[in-house]
Amino acid sequence: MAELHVLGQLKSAHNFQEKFSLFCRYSFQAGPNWTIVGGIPESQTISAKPDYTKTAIWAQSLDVHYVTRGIQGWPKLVLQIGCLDSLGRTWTVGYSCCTLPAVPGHHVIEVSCWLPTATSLTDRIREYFLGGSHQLLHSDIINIGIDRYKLKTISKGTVELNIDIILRNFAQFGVEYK
Amino acid sequence: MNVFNRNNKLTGVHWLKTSIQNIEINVKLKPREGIMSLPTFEDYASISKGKVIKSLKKIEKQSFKWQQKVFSLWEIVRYSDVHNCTTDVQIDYHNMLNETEFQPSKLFSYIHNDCHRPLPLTEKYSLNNIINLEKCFSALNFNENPTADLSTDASSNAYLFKSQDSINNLEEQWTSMHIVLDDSEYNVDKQLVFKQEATLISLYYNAATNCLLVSPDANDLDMNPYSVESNTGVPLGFEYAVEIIFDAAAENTEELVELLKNLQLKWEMKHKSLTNFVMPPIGKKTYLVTLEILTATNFEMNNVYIEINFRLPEDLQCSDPLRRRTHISSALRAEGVQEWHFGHQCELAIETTSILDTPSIQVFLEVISTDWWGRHRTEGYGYTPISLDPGFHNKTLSCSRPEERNEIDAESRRFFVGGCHLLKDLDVLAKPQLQDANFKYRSTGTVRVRWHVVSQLICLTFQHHPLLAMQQAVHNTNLLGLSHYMNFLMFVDPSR
Repeated sequence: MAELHVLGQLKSAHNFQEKFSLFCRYSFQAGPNWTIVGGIPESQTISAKPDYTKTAIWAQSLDVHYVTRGIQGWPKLVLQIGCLDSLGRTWTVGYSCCTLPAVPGHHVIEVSCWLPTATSLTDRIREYFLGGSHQLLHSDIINIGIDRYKLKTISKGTVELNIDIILRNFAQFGVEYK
Repeated sequence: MNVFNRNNKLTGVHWLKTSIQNIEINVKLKPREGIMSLPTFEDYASISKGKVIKSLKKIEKQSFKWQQKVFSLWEIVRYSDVHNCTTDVQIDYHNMLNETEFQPSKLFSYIHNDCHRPLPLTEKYSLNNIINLEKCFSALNFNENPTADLSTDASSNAYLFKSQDSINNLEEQWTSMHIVLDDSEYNVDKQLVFKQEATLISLYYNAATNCLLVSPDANDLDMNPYSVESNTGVPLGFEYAVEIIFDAAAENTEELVELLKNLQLKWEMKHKSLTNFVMPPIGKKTYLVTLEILTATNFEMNNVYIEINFRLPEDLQCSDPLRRRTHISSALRAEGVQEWHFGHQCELAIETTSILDTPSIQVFLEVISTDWWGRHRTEGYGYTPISLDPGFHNKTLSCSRPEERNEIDAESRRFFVGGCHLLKDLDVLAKPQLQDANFKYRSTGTVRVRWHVVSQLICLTFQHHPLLAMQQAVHNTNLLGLSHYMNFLMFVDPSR
């Protein structure tokens, strides 16, 4: 069995236009060959209020240990950014996904986020005055690279990830990764 | 009120799966730890400290088979003289001692023929006599000590219970055996001065029901030792433990071997399922390519999406779709720059028979904008070759669109119609020599992409696959033509 150890930090969010506190729900997704033997693959960061540079710092530590029976279905990190307003309401302000690097070592990754837009005028007016957003019914669409050109989105900010990758025993099975 | 019973000895009943002859009784005896067991000053002065402590913890172990006669010292002395032997059993013992030299043992046994203790009575309670619950409980004898019969002195009247002279009872079901500690005192001439025996274990076997009554039952020497007591209940300063092995003959043989075989089979299956790594077919190499379309910048129109086309060489096979489209993205304006975010993942699992050469694939991007009317217009084309070298790569692709050489024509077309001339064959981007001379290309924006490549080749050492070894040698000497020939040989005729 080959092993992949993901260590790192879900560091911060940049350039989100929302003035409320931001938080991030994240989950590691991988194919059926991959099994988590340690760490928490799904969690949520703290809510952080953006500063004057529109940067919200989370510094959420990541630590996941995978064993795998094949390279197919390499793990991905799926992000769902939400905001918490002063009334305690939360809604989603961004989705994103990034594939974990296959090269061992330290990586700084910027993940670009997007959000489905309101398609009708009434929805836009409602969002403007009452807040809230459109959400995806099936979150699989975030990390599956199928055609999604019928989905209208608005670009949101970016999330910064600092990730360290440790690979073990892949070379024994003839896997080259660098 | 419950009366506290200091005696921890309980009788056990065991139904035997195999013959009674297979059982083995192990007895462990050790001195009770206490102030009386400490060595005297004289002992301590003559022996070093370590040896004294070692002697204190000395545990005697002795094994007995069913109906195995072990003699004590006084028995050997008594039965050695034929004048002391009156019964047939004693004469047999005399003969045994004459034929074989028996060593006296502190732990010895009384077998069934010794008639050391009375046999258990098989009482039958009739249900007719039990009228109410109290009588039922009294019939069950809960208040009776199961080991009470052990505390009675049976040495003097042992032969009164049964004798070889008496008529054999055909209904006799019980067979007994007793393991006894000889704590007697002897003089220098091995003559008995003071006889003291303590019965450690009594075993009764019922042939009719095939059950074995063990009194007291098996225990642990450290956790729950039994105290050695005289027949009058006086502790003799020893503790002991009983262990019974019911199938001593077969324990280490067939059943154990079968169990180990099953365990090994289970372990191998588990190990195989855990270590069975998904490998490519022999002679093929697989690549896992993950391309991420991250952002697009500096395009003129808003609401854009990107169409991705992959072109693979002929010797690469891929079952994944080679044409993908991202979602439509509205721009994010930050610091005066428009940026479209996609975060679109494209995964390709590619298989090739060319093991040693590193192939490359072509990626064509077409940035398309949509307007309020639902019209789609191409904003620019981008192209990059991706070498399938394993690793992690970032790249910013410049996009351009073809437009007329005459600038007025181009601007007016762009203003009134929008979009650009479409390329029928995207190979034009990869091969500039195919470009139409009537058009020029204008830069329109950039697309940032990221990809990583992982490759896998089955782990065959070159000794196992001579063709691979030859191909490696050929490759090393840069004999390209011969290398292709070897490729051809290997994969056209795998039997070679």
